Amino acid sequence: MIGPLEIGIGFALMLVLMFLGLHVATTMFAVAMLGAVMYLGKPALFAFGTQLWGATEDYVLLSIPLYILLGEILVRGGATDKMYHSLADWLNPLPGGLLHTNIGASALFSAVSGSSVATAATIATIALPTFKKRNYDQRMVLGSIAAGASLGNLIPPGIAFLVYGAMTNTSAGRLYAAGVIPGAIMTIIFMATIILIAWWKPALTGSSTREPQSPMNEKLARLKHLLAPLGVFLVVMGSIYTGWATVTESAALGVVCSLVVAALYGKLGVAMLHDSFRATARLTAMSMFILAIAFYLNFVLGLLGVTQSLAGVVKTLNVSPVQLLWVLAVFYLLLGIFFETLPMLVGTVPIVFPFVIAAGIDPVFFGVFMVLMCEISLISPPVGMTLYVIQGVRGEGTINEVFQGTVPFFISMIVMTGLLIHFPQMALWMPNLFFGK
Amino acid sequence: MPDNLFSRWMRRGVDALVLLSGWWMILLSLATCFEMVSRKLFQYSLQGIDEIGGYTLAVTSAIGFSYTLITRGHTRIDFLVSKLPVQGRAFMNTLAMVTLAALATFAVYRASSELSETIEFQSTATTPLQTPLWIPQSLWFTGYALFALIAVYLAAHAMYLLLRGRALELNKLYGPQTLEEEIESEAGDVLREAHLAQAPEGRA
Repeated sequence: MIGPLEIGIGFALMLVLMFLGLHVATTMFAVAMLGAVMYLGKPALFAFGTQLWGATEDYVLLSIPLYILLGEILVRGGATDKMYHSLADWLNPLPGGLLHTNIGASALFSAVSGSSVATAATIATIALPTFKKRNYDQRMVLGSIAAGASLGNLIPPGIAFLVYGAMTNTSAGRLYAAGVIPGAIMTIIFMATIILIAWWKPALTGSSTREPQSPMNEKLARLKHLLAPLGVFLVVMGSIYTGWATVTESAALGVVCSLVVAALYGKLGVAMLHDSFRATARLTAMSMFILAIAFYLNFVLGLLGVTQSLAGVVKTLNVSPVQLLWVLAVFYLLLGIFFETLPMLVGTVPIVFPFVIAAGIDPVFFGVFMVLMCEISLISPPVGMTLYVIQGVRGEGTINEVFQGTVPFFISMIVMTGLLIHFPQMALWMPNLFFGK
Repeated sequence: MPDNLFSRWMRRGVDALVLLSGWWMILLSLATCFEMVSRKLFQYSLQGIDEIGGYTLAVTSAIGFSYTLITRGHTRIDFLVSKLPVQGRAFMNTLAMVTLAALATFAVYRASSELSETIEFQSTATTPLQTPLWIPQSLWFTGYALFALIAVYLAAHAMYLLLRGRALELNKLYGPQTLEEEIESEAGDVLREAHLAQAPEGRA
């Protein structure tokens, strides 16, 4: 067993190597290798091959490429623009008008799509021209798209939950159930933020623009365009919660549904499928490469007795779960400034998870907490891929306007973090209901 | 990748493998749905889809590693690197490529010994299918071998450029993707499609 000091040095070394710009997977392997060579010897080092095969030969994790594929097909095969306008029919009467549609459309779309980058790009492409003729403050428009796109991981099915579940041996079904209520609350808080701003500073939210209302029969007719993403979502999640399908089976079902949707909209074709395959391969390999190496790191850390060592530290520190969670929240807020979702999740969970468990925090609850931290990292400048994507689609003005636009939503997310920490039941109620305690 | 015959062949080969993996996943999804329905309605279960699914992930992600390497997608934190002067960036980019190649080489070395043990002991899966494990593992190993081959080639090319002092070219080929490049490779076709769809509306 190694002491907390060595663990701290190893962790710090990994972060330094990451900041030097080496590949994230390389830095994790370097630390694992160092631990294996210094304390364990050749067998632990040479177990690398067996670990690589074991980590990736996994039916549950197959859901990762399948969910990505389903999202990629839907992005290319659905009628995102029609969906956006149908959603606008219903959300426009709220104070803040079309801004709510940005949140709603991004949330709905990113819930079924595994890539927040693709979501941000798609919604921004549709939303930005729509706002051109209207009087909204640009920053609010940009911020609401970014905030909406970041919701995708919290609302199931998201990739981050699967990755967390695989690394900590937590049931993906439970995690998905746990994400539903916090995801809904987060969406409501975003919308409430827009309404508050609409009251406080009407000029920011296009108060001078009155959105024209379509007749009810037209609105109802257009509702069918919401069916595609909603239907896929309901089939995927419904089949999991009713026990009809495992997580991977539901993902396969979702892929088939997305093919049907694409066919109904007349967009199913070989070229479009090939583009989806390429995007899926890229995102899957990015995730699986880091994940496979993380499994090896986890294996080495297990042999080194890191879990017991850190549990001992927690006992001597004598912190309450709430205190520990607040410390972690600050830590992740800082890390999130520089890190994207996946490196943050995979790079820290092997060390942080033993701490959390020793402090008596529920692993399912902590999964929701972690994913919320990842969401925040997605919209915290200056490193947040979705922000740059939105700016890229916009093609005018400066990135600073996007940064400013995210500020109110960033604050909402911190409020959400506080709510989650003090009311853990919001995450735990659903999984306990569906799967028992 | 440098622009030469070897690179073009590699690109084409890896792309073909990626498309093959995609079609395989569509097939697997259809088979999974078929299995679910027949299990629920006719109490008849196809054995082994889950097992094949597991092999699928191992093999397709090994193939994907090469594709992501060629399209420069493997994750790096470029926050500090992007602030360095050209020469410093060139050095860090080379270091990143060389260490990645070292990791890939070690991985393929350990994967080869995993495979040769499987062949030596004629291991089979402890499942109803009793799959001889050398079949999925050889495909998996091939994926890693391809990944290591390309990684070593790219690292060598990066070192060559560094020694010749061609820092700009090096950073362009082996630096983290610029924003435009990353958007293009993750959502380029979606954006073009969306712009096309928007065009008629915009004129109206």
